Amino acid sequence: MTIALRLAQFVFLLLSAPLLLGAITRLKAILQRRRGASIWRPYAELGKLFRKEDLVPGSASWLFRAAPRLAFALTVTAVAFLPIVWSNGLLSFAGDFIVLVYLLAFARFLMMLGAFDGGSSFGGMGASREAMVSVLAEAPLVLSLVALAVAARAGSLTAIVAWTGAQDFFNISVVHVLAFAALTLVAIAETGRLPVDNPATHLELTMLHEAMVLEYSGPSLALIEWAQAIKLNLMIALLIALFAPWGIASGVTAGAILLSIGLYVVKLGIAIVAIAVLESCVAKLRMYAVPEIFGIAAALSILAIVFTLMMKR
Amino acid sequence: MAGGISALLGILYALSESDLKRLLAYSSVENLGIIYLTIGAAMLCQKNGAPGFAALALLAALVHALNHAIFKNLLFLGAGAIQYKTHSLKLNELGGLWKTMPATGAFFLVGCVSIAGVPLFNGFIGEWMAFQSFLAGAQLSHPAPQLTLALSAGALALTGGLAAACFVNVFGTAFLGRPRRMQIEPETKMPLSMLVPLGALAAACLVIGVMPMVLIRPLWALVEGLIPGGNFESGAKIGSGIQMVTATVLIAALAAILIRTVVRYAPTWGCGLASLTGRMQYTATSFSKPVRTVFQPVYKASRKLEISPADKPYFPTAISYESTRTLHYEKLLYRPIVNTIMTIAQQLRRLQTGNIQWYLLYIFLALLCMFLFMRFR
Repeated sequence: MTIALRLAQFVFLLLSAPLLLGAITRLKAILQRRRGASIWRPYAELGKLFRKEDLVPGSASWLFRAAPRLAFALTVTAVAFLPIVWSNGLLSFAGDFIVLVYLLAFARFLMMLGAFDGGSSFGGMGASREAMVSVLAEAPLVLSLVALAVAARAGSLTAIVAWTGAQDFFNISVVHVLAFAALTLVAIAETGRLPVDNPATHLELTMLHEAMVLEYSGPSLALIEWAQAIKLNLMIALLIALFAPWGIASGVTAGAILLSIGLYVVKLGIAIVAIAVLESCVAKLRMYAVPEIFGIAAALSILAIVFTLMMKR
Repeated sequence: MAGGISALLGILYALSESDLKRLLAYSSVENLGIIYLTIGAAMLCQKNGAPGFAALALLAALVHALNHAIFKNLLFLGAGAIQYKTHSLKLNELGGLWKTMPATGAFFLVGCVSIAGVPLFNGFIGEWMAFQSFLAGAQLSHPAPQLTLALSAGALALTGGLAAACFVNVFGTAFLGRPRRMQIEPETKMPLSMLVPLGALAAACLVIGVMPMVLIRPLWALVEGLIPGGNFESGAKIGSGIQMVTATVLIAALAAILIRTVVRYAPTWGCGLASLTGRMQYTATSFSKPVRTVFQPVYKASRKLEISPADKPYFPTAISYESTRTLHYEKLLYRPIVNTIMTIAQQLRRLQTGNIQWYLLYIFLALLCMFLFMRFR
């Protein structure tokens, strides 16, 4: 029964990812007084891309087509560690959040190679910019996760979530506040959202992630876009699980599980509204201003670690 | 601490390097830095009465040292193979080599992925164990290890990110895309004696990456002799964790590959230009540009751009561009030491007069000193 629940939340995270993207886009449209497309549009778009043919540049090797497929598989695997409505992730072991970070790093590594393989300068440009963002994102991401793990005296995501869930909401530690701020900044950059990258742009000079995947089409592009949506879903689910796990089900009763699902949908809704409002309010940053965001995130996460010293045991 | 700093500096210089062999040498500095960082963690845990964590950290250091030996050998041999074929190791001149040397390319890719420290390859095992020992040590209730080890995890993460960017750059510019300016000798075939070692090392990277216990178990016996009191439990979990991840990745990758696709080969989009040439691609130097700009205070690069004729900057006939980096550690750390030694050596040279009488006097004085020393000891 519990394995079924763990599997179900894993599959839910994968399949709901395009819906999340659709909801954010729709809400942004409403905020900008447009009607906007249906929230189911990303599914239609993926379906369309899956039916098209895969165009491959003549200069490319087999890596060009292998990269998005493997990167998709790695992103999917990273999702397996997350507990969202049921208190255990599908996979869970000591140090699993490090594996999560590095699975995403591997996926990005492959996509950068795929971009080089296209043989045009846009691929290299996108890969180079993506490399800068990922180099700077990794340290604050790991540092804030380490701060939470030290605070919880735990080694796996599931254990950290269980510990936070047992705490009193109104007595939350300063470590969590700082780590939350740091992780949010990193999550925005990692998923290529505004103000770091604009997922809607197709102007060569301003693109980061989009320039990297410029040469891709058809099913390869569908997998890339799906993986990107899954990554956004993953980051939001990670933030919810780490900083607002209250109400997550740990007993196998229908009531507890339904309550947990309901609460998760509410939390997700808050996250969607927050992203849509933020993206409607800010403009994209100049690329060399992005390191400053990471500087702030790194400083916050280091502070979070310093404050773990003062936590009462 | 020194380990962490040398790891970061090493990889930063490696990233900005465009000569393959020097890049690999800098990356050795980085990896040795990681190993020392982990040994430092082991000592810190041991001092604070946590032999179990100390054993884990020492194990991580040993595992990473051995893994580094494997993938660094693979990369150096691969670099040798590139030079054999193209007579060049300058990344800015290479490109599209995978088409001409497919086997070497595949093995070199395994080396690059391993050194980038990502899961399913052996470079990750040591780094992951290092992270785990830092994490375990940071949960000791002493302020010193808690702070140092938690921040070490951050340094390790930054190093890992930079290493990944660095080796994307290496493989991407040398093996992928279109050829740049090098000369390929079509008649030189890779001899089997070059390919077999490369293949064997690449296979070792993969096997250890997927089944780390083959390496961890024998090393554990060694560590147990050095630091008694550790338990093998945390080490054993690493193997099962990696296996679960491998299985999930394989299933998902299989599902993604089985999606039915129609492939058509088409030229790369060239912004309306008729055709793209290898010169238009991003080079190794341009790839590392954003990171170099961010870490500008470390590099202290100086640039010189000359356009001639000077009065018509938009219609140049010749452009020369020069960029140099200051090697800070060399200027601040090694130069003074070397200079002092050189000065002392210069003074000592005066002793060597070439006169046999002087030498006899030296021998006499040395004997006298020795007798006096023995007498009054």
